[in-house]
Amino acid sequence: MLAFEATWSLMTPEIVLGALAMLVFTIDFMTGIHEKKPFIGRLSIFSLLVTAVLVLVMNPQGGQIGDTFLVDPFAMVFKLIILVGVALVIMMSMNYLDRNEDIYQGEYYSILLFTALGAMIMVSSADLITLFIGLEIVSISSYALAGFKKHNIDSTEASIKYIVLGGTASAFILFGMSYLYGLTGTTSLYEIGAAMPELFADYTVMIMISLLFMLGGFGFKVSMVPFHMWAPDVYYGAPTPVTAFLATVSKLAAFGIIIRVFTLGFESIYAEWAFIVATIAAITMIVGNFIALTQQDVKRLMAYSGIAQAGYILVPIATVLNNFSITVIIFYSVAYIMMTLGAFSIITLVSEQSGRKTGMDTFAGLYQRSPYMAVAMAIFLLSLAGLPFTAGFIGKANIFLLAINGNMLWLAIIMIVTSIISFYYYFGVIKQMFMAEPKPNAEEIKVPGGIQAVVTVTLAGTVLLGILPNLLLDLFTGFNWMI
Amino acid sequence: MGLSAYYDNYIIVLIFLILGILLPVVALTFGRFVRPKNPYAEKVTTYESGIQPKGDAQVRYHVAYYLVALEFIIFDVETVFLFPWAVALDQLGWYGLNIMLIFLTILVLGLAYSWKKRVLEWN
Amino acid sequence: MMGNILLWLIVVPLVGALLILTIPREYTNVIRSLAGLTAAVALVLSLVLWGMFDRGAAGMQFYEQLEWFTLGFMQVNFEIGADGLSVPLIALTTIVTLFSIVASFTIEHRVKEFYVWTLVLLTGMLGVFVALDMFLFFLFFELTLIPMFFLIGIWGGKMREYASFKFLIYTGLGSGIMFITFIVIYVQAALVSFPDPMSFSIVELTEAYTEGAAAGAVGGAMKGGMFLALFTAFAIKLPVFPFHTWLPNAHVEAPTAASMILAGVLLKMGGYGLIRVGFGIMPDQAARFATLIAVLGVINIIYGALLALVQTDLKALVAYSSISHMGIVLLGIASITEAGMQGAIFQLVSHGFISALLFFMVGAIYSRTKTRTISEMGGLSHSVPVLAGFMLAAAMASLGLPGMSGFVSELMAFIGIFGAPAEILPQAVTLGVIAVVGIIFTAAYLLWAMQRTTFGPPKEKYAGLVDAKPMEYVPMVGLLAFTILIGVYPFILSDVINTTVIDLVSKIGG
Repeated sequence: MLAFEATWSLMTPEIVLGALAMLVFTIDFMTGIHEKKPFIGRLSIFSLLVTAVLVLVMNPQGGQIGDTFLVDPFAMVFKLIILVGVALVIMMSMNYLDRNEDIYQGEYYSILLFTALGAMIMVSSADLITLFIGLEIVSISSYALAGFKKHNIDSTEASIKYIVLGGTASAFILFGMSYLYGLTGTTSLYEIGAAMPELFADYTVMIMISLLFMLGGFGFKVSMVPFHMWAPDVYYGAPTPVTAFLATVSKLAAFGIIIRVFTLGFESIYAEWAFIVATIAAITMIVGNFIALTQQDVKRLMAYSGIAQAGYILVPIATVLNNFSITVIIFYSVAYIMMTLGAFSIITLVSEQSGRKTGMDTFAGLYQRSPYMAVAMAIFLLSLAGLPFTAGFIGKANIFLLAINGNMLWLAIIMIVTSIISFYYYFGVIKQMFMAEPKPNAEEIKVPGGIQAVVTVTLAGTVLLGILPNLLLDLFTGFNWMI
Repeated sequence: MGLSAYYDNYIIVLIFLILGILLPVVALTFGRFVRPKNPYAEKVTTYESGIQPKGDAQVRYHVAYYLVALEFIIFDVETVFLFPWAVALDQLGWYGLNIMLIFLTILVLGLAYSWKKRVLEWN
Repeated sequence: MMGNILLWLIVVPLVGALLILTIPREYTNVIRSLAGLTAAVALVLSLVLWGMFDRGAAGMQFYEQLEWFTLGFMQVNFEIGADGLSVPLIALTTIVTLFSIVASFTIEHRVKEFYVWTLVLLTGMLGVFVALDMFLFFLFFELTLIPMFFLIGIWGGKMREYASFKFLIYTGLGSGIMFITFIVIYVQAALVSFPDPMSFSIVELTEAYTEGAAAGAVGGAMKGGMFLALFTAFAIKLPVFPFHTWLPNAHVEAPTAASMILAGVLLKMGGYGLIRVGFGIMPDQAARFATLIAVLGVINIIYGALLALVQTDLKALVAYSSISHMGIVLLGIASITEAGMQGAIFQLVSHGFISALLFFMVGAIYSRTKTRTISEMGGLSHSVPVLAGFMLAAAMASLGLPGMSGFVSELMAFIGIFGAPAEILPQAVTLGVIAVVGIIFTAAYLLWAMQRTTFGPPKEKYAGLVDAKPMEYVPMVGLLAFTILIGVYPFILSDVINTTVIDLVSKIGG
């Protein structure tokens, strides 16, 4: 007889989020199709907050459901990052949706909530199948979100490119997983990890193929080279808040599963794949930063900058995977979410005020039109570039320390040289804001409440973490990230 | 079974595949060289049961067909899950009933959504 | 902690900048006065520091350490202190900045932001000279890039955007290399001292590398590589051939006040870093590469002078003369003698004053004649006698006329190079002779430029020019006075730096 087992309570945050997402979804279709519904946005933020509280409060010591669903400090912190990220994206979108008539509001919020749910399942998975379920929930929801502006041809193009390429990436992942299953007879990451040493000796080629295919599939989602080609077009065509979501939450959740799979599954053969990942990291940083130099559109610029940032996050994965490096990655993830969401919210604001265009010239003279926003944007860009007294700098300094300590001096050198090169395009936007004259018919910018809130929160986070990083680092010392 | 037996099975599939491709290719090529060639205008037109073909070869169809097919797939898979559950219900007990009810509720909500949003209407 | 004068030195300009932010942009006179007042307070503090400094004691004084944060096993502290090397440079910074702020009172465009950026720049520069923790040093070093980017980019000349980006990326690259090298130095030392924790402090690292465990444990090739990387990083800032190409663009396009600070102080940060970090932490490597440093110094002197000789733009000529004069600093360091090191530090301070004065004069002349082309100018001694006189004085100081500080610094640097120990610098005498030839070139281009612009028959187009205004007397007289003061009474400076120099040089075998 099947009976209710208490360990299911480990999934409470996910279940609650799922139920609330269905509630939002139901309320939406019960109240008419096309009216503006700000209350649904607030309800969504409320559900995310409730879920975040549940994540914090329930199961502080962690646990597992069978061998599939895992709650440990790593999963909890990543879930918090995801929930905060999606909440900020929703706050950023509320005014955007009101001004864009061809977006269906109710579905937008509920799909975002489902994406958050999928991402939470992703980072909590200890089994290949659970991981894939979470990944697909996020992916398919993202495909829908990318194409949300139904009458805009760029949005449709973005969505179709994302579907086709994303489907291929999922196929890669499944192929790699199938090899692992075939060799070990199990999909549990723990058992695969345990069996890995002997397996690798017998079936080297098959394990490497499976590793490379899985890395390729996951790499698609984090936009690492050479699986990055979707990023510029999809980022450009999707509605700007969706781009913000893709650039932050989706990327970070995928990094979460890369870390999970490589720590639980492939750790014993670290020596084999470390150099591959390091090379990919180096190429990603170089390609991302160099192509960004020529961009004239802000959203494409951020896409290539995001590709380069993915390269930076890959560096700690390539050097060593222990508690300290995971702390470094998580610190950089928090810093990255703060600065990228802040930058994107200001891009949303500025593009809406300039007739939905996103060229570099929409930023012209922003300092004279709205000084607070220009300064905030400058600080976010400085943080992305890695200049002192910002969270981005501390994050990068951490990564350097890790790389040099792990005898990968060449990687650290490539990272710093490409970071300096990135100054050019980040300062290009700053130059537009501070040095160029505003367009003749540009008016004062009225900042909607949602964007104001997002900018304030992310600015505070970026500057605080830059001056007093101990606030976060002290919390994480002594953590044993993975059970 | 050793590794070579594992590969042996795949070789059988490969041979099957090659033969499958070769058969029609050989048949058609052989026919091409053997049959007489005498084309004229009426012989080369598309066949449509004696009627004169008119209009484009590509036919556009109502997008509602696609939406109905989508809905059908979803509820069909739901039905597929319902069958084994129904057969094993006495062993699953109340717990099994509750879980399936949750599953059904989620899908009913989806149906309610498509009903309300006029997805199933044809106009 | 409240009584630590160095802390006040860093905080005062920052507070000044924040105060200016609160003033509405229309009240330009209030903003100017507040900026000048802040710089004056900083100057007074640095003079108090000068007075309070204990000449006889070696090592760091006014030391302060606050715990900041921990990255893994790396402990970063807010650690500041001053010794005989930093105190003169701090004084130089505050003096040049005050005069540069006075010189910029004529700017009318976006006044508020100009002074905010200048004061933030002052904070950064002072921070560099007092920072004892390498991480903090790097933070302040990098911090100076941003205000200078804006100063050149907004208030500069025709090619200002190109110049500001070139400055940013080029010197940014130097800071990046410096940062990586710092971390490598730290990791090597930490690995050796494990399990004792190692801080990022310059003092501790100097000890570890010169006397402590790391001296023997870290391999010669590794130390050599680290020193070369550090040298490259500071060479971009100083600048040293072949990393000097950012300097002409940046100097020529920058507004007068920014050029004064750029030539007067920012270049000195490169020299300071080389002595403090490069020479201080790895003096044996400095001795090993002494020939390379000396050769580069000589190339700087000759190449800079030759390039200055062919310039048609007066401001570019002064910029190339800066490159040339920085070569003397390298010669002094490479000689590994007390006299040479004193000469290098003297040159840092003296050239700071002289180049600031030169750039101010060029700016003053440019605002009147609307041209910087030497061939178009002429006979200025008839139209604007006071300005022409001060410009001539500045040119004399730059070519090392006895009685001015330039002479003292060059003399000591040459005494050092000719007296360099033979096992460290075998070709010392040859290099010294070539360098002296460079001095002749210096005199050539300066005298030629002065003859073309100042002397000769008066030109009608310059007949009605206004001579020096009262506000302009302040920087001219002030900077020239300091130059003559050091030239006539060098003891006032050598007294402060003596103990530190002896301490530094003694680390090489002695």
